[in-house]
Amino acid sequence: MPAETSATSGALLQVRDLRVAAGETTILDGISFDVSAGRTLGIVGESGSGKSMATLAVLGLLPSGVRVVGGSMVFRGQELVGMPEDRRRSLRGRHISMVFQDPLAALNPVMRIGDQVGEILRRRSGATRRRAYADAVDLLRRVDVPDPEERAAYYPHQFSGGLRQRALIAMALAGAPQLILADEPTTALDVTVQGRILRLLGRLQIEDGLGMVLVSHDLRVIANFADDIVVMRRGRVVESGRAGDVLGAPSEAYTRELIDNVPTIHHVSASAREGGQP
Amino acid sequence: MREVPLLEVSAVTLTYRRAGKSFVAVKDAGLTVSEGEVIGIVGESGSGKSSLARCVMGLVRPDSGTVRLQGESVGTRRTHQQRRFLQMVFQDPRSALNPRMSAFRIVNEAWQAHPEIAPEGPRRAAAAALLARVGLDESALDRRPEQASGGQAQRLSIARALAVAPRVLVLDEAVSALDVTVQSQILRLLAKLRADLGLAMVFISHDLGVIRQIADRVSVMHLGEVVETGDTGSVFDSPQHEYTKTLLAGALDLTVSGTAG
Repeated sequence: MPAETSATSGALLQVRDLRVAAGETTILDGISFDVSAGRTLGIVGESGSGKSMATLAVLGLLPSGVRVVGGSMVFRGQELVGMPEDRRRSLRGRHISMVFQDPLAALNPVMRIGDQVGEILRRRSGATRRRAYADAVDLLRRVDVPDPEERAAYYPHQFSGGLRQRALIAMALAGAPQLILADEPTTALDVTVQGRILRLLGRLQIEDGLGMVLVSHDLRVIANFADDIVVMRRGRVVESGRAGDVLGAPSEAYTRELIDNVPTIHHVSASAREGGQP
Repeated sequence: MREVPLLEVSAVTLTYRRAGKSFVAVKDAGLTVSEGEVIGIVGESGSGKSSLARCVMGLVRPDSGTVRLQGESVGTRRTHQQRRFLQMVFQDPRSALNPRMSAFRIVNEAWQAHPEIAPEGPRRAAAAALLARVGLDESALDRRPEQASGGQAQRLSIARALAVAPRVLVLDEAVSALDVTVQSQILRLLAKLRADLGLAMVFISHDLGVIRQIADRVSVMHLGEVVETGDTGSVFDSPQHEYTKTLLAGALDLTVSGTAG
């Protein structure tokens, strides 16, 4: 039974041969990966690779018309495939939480940041509104929001992009999850903010022993922050393994191509400058 | 004797005013582009790089400063020839191109707007040759941008820009939305066009790696000002301005070391 397998392997989340389709169209064609507590799994792929669909499948938030048609996803011994929606919902935001690319879309524009974080805390612990708000301030401090007492009273539009993403991370932490799924969490952010947010996620992950899935199109993000890597293309896993192995000695030509095409800061490829075969 | 640069921007300041508020988007910025040269402009959002490009293109009138094309000062009202001189390529080709027009019509429309540069022989053959230059085959002639992939659509918008024989391409985040494998193809295409046609480029990007790959010289913008300009290699390897140092220190690179975790 899958539940027993996962209990013994130590993986927080075990995805096996997951198949997702929209009608006749295959979107995920049998993908497998593990996420362990205290480790970050980086999923990298280009557009159409299915990397975001994989996270949405784990969350149970697939778009309408898109369904899991095979395979299994076991989270802490519980099979997620076929689990009733109310149980999925209670896992989501509590044991499994998420950070998406666009924090503005995920935040309520007419609710103070402190109340939004506080609401999740209340749902979890049943604390009073006042108590939850105070805890929310602490959580905002933990994600390095400066002057958290003052800023808890701000609305999302009063936050910069980087602060909004920090607020979203605070919300993701508020349920005290074991697993965080971060899909392109820094893609919309400026270069200097990007690194800080990713380092924050890495720090929180270590402090809380979280399992994390970091999804990005940008191999630079994955290379700097993932322990293990899954390379996806057209709905399949091309290659997976320890980050150092996959990046240092890729076994698949596609992985090599991805690595070679990253525009690096400290090395200029000859073909890029001289106009090789475009 | 100094050679007259293709494009020279000096001391441009641009202030946006709305509802009694004003915001200085570009402050005393300068830029020089010579034949066949690729100038990178790098900066974060709000740094003024796109606003500077709008001044260069004559889409907005700066408060002060000048834009010169081969020594000739230009404003927002430009002649045919001045408009051909600079062509722009945007981040999202699907919104920059009419999605329902075939590639042939898109190119042909550029020729109709600039009859002085239009080919004399059969237009379809000329359009096919132009598309071949950007790596699109003949079958692309009748395809519409909405049917094309992101990379193909960006190649088409480069072809449209080239149709009017510009001297300088202004590219604003032109490869930012593309997958890395496609991105590097487009970068190689641009390098080839520069080599073959002596085309100069102003290449705007927030991505330091992309700038490093394509630009001969780079200007770093921060809060509307050009804080540092120099050869790309020296700016990246030994940045002088504090902001450039911060930017480079903060940028992620592909280093396969023990940084994981």
